[in-house]
Amino acid sequence: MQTLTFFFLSLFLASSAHAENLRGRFLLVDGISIEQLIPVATEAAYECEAPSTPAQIVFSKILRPLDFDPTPFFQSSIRNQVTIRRSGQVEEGQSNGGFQASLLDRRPEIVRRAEATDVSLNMTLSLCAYGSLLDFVEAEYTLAGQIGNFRVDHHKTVGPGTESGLSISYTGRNWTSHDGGQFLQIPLFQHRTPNSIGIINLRLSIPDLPFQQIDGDAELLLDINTSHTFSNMIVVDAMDAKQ
Amino acid sequence: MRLHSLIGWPTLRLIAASFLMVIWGGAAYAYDFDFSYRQNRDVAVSLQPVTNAPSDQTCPEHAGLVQISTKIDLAEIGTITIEPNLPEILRAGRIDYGSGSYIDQNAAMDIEIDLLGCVFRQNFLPLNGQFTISGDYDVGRIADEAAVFVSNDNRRSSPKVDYQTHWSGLVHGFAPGEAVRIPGLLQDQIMGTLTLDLSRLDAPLTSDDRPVQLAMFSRLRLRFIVVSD
Repeated sequence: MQTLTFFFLSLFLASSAHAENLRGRFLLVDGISIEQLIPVATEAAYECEAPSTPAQIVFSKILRPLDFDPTPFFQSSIRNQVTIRRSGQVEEGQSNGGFQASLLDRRPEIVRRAEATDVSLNMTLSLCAYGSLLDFVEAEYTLAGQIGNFRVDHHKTVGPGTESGLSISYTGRNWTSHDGGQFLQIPLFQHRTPNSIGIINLRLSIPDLPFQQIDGDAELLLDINTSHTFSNMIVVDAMDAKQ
Repeated sequence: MRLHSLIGWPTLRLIAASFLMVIWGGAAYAYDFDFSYRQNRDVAVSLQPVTNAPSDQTCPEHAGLVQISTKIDLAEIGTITIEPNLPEILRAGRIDYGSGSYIDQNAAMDIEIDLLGCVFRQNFLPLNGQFTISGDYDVGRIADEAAVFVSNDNRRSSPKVDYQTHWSGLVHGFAPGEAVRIPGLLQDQIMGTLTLDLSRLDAPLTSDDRPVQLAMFSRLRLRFIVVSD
């Protein structure tokens, strides 16, 4: 009897994770990469005031979990619902009066984390560029992918306002002179590429982002916090960008 | 006859160590007080157009010459920690200012900023300027100690000025997880942030009852919210 009670309790705890909001953070993996500033054709969806011309930065990053347990994301709606009577008799397929059992992954945490996520962030920054002097127009991003049996597909367009969870700042390091030459290059203390035109700091935080169960209608909430610094920004012309 | 056979290795090592202590102690005594400033409140500065521009100051085409000219009460927006810089052996005997670091609650301190730069829409390029520190502390006074800034100066000891254009989202303040809150200022008005790093600045401390002593700012980093005029 005692054993049975303990068993029931532990299962109750496991399944209660289903109901509560899951808190966690996502860390954006920062590989060494060169982000390209691509001038876009004049038929772009937006116009820039002279002397600036439209330019976009396109990037894609894979998100990795930093400190959350992905176990609840492996819940499946296909479960064997069993009822265990005190006599020890097992009745299958009855939901009332019984309890649900779900399969828990018992492999090491680190292995599960690595296999648990396939979420990526794709972002396009639409800008107006005058040399390395950039003005922000809008950011469009998609956060999509899968963790276990849960899927997310979050799409948003953000303007210069203060309402969104997307914080972006920029420091131009390269000012152009009257004759088109270099006016002044400000020392870049953390630079990797000497001809980098500037630094973009980006921070995205989305509280309670819902992940939908693929084979059911459950929903799990996850806090997304990710930040990234672009310090290797170079300008490529449209010809190179097409290749 | 060799020296070590006369007085032995342990004694020789002790003598060598004593010499090192004296040399090290002398170097550490180059200044008398270590000042460390920590900002804990936000303050705004504005970019003003320069009407009578000096002839040697030019900006790139389409950019305009602007200045930041203001005086900020640093005691109001942060705290100053003072630590007597004494060799351990002397520190034990000092009881007048305490033997360790302490926050000077009564300190008065301000900075005068005169910064010239170019502006293109939200982008700001600091060209050159001067920052003047004045203060009245428990341990003495600092009168108009100036640090000169030139944009392409790369030396470690010179002041660093860094401007970040704000594009989107909230600008975070000093309290963790909180947005900048300055009375009368809306987040939408924020153009960017300006960071000044005057760390390693040293200044003479004068007082009525003591000879001139030297203060060294091991940490003097300031951040201002930039708004256009």
